[in-house]
Amino acid sequence: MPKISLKNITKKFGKVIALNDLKIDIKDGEFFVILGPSGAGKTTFLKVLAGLESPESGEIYFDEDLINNIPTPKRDVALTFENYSLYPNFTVFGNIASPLKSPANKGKYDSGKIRERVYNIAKMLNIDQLLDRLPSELSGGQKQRVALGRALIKEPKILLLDEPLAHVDAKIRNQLRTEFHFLKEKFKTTTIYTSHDYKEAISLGDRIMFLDKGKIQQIGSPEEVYNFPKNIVVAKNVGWPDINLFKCYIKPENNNLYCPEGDFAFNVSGKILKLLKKYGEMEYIIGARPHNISFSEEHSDKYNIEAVCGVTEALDNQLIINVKIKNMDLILSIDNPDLYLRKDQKLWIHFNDQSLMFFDKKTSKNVK
Amino acid sequence: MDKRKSLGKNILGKLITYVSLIITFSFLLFPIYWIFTMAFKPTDDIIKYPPTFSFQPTFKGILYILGLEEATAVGTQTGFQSYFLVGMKNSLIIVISSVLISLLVGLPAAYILARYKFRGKENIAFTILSFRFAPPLLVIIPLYLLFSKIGLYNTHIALIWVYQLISLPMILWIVRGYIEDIPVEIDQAGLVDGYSRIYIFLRMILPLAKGGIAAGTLLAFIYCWNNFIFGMVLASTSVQPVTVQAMRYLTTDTLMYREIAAICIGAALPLLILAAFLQRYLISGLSMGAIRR
Repeated sequence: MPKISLKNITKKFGKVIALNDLKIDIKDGEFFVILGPSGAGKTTFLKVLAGLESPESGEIYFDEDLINNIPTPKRDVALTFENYSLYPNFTVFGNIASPLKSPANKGKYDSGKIRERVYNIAKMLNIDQLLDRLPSELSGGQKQRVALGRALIKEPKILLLDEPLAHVDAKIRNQLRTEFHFLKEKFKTTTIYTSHDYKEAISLGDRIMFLDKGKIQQIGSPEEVYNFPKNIVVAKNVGWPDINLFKCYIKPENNNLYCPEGDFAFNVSGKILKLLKKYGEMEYIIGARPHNISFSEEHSDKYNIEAVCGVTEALDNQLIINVKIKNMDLILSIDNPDLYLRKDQKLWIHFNDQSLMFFDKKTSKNVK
Repeated sequence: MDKRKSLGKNILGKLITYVSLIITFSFLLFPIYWIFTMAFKPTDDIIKYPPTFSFQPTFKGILYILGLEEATAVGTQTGFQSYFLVGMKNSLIIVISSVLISLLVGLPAAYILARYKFRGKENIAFTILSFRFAPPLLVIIPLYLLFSKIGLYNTHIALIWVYQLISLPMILWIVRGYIEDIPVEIDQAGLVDGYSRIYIFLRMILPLAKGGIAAGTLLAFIYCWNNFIFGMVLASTSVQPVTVQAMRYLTTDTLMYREIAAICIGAALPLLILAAFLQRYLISGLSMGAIRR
C-alpha cells in the first residue's frame, strides 16, 4: 500500500480553477476523507489521482514513483463514481468481475477463480443473491454495493470512493457507514473518500481534508477539524446544528466583549483577552457551537444575558432551541430532548469562553 | 352522475380520436394503396376517368418487370430482360456497401467527436454535416468529369464513394448525439477497471448506443436507396440503381404506369424489411438503469 504525495497540483477547466495548488501527503494505509461542499473539487481530485483528468501543473507520486504520465489502466487504483456508473448491459456478476477480466489482469485469473472471488466479494457485501440481475433492476443501495464490489475485487493499491453514501436513503446510509468501518479494518488499503457530510468524515476519517473552491482549507484529525476549525468556512460546514457566528468588539475599559447585534456584553478570561489583544484587532467574529452555550431558566450572576425562547425542535436525542437576544438569532442545543420550554419564555445565557472560537473579521481565519 | 358524465365525455373523446386517426391514416396511406393496386390493373383501368376501384387483377406488370414475360408494348426493346432486377442488384450492392463503410468510419469518428477534446473538432463535425447542404447538382458535373478521367465512371465503387456524402453525415451525427447522452463515467469506469479505449468503445459504448446506430443506419439506408441523380449521371445501365432503372419504362411512345407501379412496390420492399428488423432497436433505446439520474 503506497503513500501518495501531491506537489502543487493545479487543475483548471477553462477559466475555472478546480484544484488550486494542492500539496498533500497521504500516508500508507490511511483512510483519508475529503470534506467539502459541492463544487469544491472533490471529484476532480479523485479523477486526477485516477488519471482520468490530467493536472495543468504539479506532480503526483505513489510512493517514490512519479505517475503523472502513467495511463489510468496501469495505475492500479479503483474508483467508485458518485453516480455508480455500472455497465448497464452487464449483469451484477459481469460488473464485479470486469476488473479481473481486463487486459491489465490478463492471464492472472481463470474463470473458476474469477467466479470464486466475485462470489466472495458479493457475499461480503450482501449482494450474492443479485448476481444475475442487471443494474436497472437494483435499488440505489444495491447499486452502490455493486460499485464497491467492482472496486474492491482487484484489491487495488489505492481505493478512491466518490461520495459513496450521498444518494442512498438514510437507513442504508447508516448501515453502509458501519460497513465501511469493517472494510477499512479488513482491507487496510490507502483510501480516499469524499463526502459533503461532516458526520461521515468524522466517523470514518483518520484524517480529514476540508476543500473549498479548489483550495485546501484545513487538514487534520477529526477532532482538530471539529474543535479547531482554521477558518469560518470549515467551522460552518462541520458540526450540526450550524455554528453561531456573530460580531464582537473588545472593550478594554472593563475587560469584556461587546456584541452589537444582540446589544450585550460578557466577560472573558484574561488569557483569551490577552490572546485577542496580542492578535491586534478590535473586532472579531465569534463562533459558538450550539451545545457549548449554556442557559438557565433563572437569572444569576453566571447566567446574565437575557434571551427569548423561540421554536424548539427535538431531533437525534437533542433539543434544538432557537432563541433571540434582542434582534440576534442564536441556536442552542442540549442533550435532553424532553425538556419543556415555552415559546416566548425568558432564558438566561452564559457563553463558555473556553469553547468559543474567534475569527479574524477580514481574513476569516481562526485567531487561535 | 358526474362519473357518468365524464364516462360519456370519455367515449366521445375516444371516438373523435379514432375517427381523426382513421382519416389521417387514410389520407397518408391512400397513395400507397393506389400505387399498389395500379401494379395489378389492366392498362385501361389505370387511365380510366373517373377512376375506378373495381378491376380485374393482372400479374402482367409483375411478370414483365421480373423479365418473365416478353415485352410487347410499342417503343420498348423486345425480348426478355429485366431492368428491375439489374437495378435491384446494383442498388443492394451500392447501398449496403455505402452504409457499411459509413458505419465502419462513422462509428469510431462519432465516438471520438463525442468524447475527445481537440482543436477544430466542431469544424470537422460541421464540415461533414455540410455535405448534406450542398445541392447534388452543383457537384455532379465536376464529379462526372473527374470520374471519367480516372476511370471510375460507370463503376460500383464510384457510386459507393459518392454515397458517402449521404450516409456518413447521417450516421456520424445521429450516433454522436446518442454517445454524448451516455455518461462519460461509463468510459472512465472502464479505464479504471483496466480496459483500453478500443475495448470500451466496442464492448461498452456501442451496445449502449445501438438505438442510435439503428436509427442512423435506417435513415442512411433510406436516403441512399432513394437517391436518383448520382446514379443517373455517374453510371450507365449496367451499374445504375433501381431508382434510375425505373425510368427505362418511360419511353418516348408509352408511359408504362403498371410496370412503374410494380417497380415502386418492389423497390420499397428492402426498406420495409430493414425497418421491421431495426424497429425493436429503435424502440428499445437505452436501458440506462445503471446510472443515477
